[in-house]
Amino acid sequence: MPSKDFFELATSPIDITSVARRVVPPECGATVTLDGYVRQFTRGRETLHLFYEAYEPMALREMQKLIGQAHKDFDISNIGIVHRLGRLEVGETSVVISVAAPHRKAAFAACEWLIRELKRTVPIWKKEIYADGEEWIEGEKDVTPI
Amino acid sequence: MIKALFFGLTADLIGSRSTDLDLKDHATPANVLEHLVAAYPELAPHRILIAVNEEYVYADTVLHDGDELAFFSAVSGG
Repeated sequence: MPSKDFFELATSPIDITSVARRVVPPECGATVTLDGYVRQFTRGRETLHLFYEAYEPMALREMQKLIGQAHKDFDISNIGIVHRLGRLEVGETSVVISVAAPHRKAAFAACEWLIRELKRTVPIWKKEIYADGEEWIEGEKDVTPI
Repeated sequence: MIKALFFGLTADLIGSRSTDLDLKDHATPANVLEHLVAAYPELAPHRILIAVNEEYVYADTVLHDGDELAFFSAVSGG
């Protein structure tokens, strides 16, 4: 059966429902969808808006690698990942990850693994714009080359 | 000739998004980064990740003519 995986970078608002529906194949019983969105308060500081930038071709390659690895490690059928770039307002969706699987347990586990790895390896950066300044956020985890 | 790309924080600190470099044979990203940090000391406190041709590499990877080298801070998507 042809894979219905997809991975995209978007510059306009992401339609969560359509991402979730695109991954659904007939043999599946559950789709787990993560809706990551812009938080208003981080450690007590108020965010006015965010700006996301990517090294786009490498980001897409890394997303594709994550999908390949997830298929090896979890009993899942299809994966969709869409990450937004550019300026995002508080509450807007920055990332959607949908994982369809025959059974929900594998879908939850794969979705959690995918967002954790995306935040560690996919070359996308977030700038927080506050009332009194702005700051590029730096990730905390090491990336060991393969 | 090697193209070096900068993103996010590194682009802001260097004040540029890309530059072309003429390097000696057997040059590595570590050599380039050393020059960058000397020219832009603001980079020093940050952990800089390195990619060559859109793949993460170690700093001692030997560069080749035509490579696309990228320097960026630890990623923060999601």
